Amino acid sequence: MRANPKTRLLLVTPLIGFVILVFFLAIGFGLAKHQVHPSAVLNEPFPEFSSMTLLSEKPITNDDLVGTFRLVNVWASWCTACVAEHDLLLELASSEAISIIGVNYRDNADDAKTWLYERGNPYEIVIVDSQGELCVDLGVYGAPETFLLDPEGTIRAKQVGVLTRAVWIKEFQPWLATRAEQN
Amino acid sequence: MLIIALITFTFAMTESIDGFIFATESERQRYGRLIEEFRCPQCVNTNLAGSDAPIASDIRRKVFSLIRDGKSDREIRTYLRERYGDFILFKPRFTPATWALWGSPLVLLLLATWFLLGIREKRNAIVLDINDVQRIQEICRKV
Repeated sequence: MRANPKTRLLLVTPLIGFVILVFFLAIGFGLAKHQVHPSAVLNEPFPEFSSMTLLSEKPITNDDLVGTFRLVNVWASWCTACVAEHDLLLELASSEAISIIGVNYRDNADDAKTWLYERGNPYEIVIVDSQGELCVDLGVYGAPETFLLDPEGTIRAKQVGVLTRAVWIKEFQPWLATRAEQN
Repeated sequence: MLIIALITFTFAMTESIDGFIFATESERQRYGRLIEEFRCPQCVNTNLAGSDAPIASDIRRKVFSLIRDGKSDREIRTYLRERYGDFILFKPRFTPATWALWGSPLVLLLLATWFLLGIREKRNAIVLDINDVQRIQEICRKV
């Protein structure tokens, strides 16, 4: 005897439910892989701020950052991962590939200075952000994070975590090349 | 007298949270509500109010200053979402990516209704026992 269509439909309902669940889990996990930290600060102007520089202790604002391509690198002396990208930053600075601005995030000024003295200073300017105000405006999760600013002061690329050579070449360098072509 | 003094003292205590001094009681309540509403970006399922992480205290300070600047709840939500993504919202927005999430309770409700109606129909159906079947077969044979 064959089960009536309704009973059969009820029997396969759990299976259908399972397939739907798997479908959405697959999408969810797939998406999660691609956008760990989606951020809308991309293609937006660098946030307005007004702070002091670490070494020369002069006032600095967002207006001081326009005019050329710059890397803005969020770091701190307590940040162990920052050591991993330090050699690359030093290399970029010494080869004059790009101007690098440091944002000293929630740090003690003396510790920060000692850290730079011991490991070398790749930064043209270091902005003090002892209260994390600028970093909240930037949507920073933690140090290190690196932003690429174009000459108009717009954020063009962003790296959460250690800046590697591969990321520099793939995500950051092409921006400099396009502008060089236009000029 | 003592009771009045105690009550006044309690109210005086609630005027500030996190050391912030609020101009009005409604601002204080808004602040309390908003920091409950957002997830701490560095923590697993802890809201801004319940987290000791430095970033949570930075964001709380920002929420306070946005309130002081006269920003609406909506503007503050947008500000944080633009910087920290949908992750910071405990309550997801209604977007093409989340319509299934928001719609699923309705779909489940419809399915359950359909299922229950099916059961009721079955209960109301006339059930034939073996004698009925034999009688029907007899009638059929005669015809």
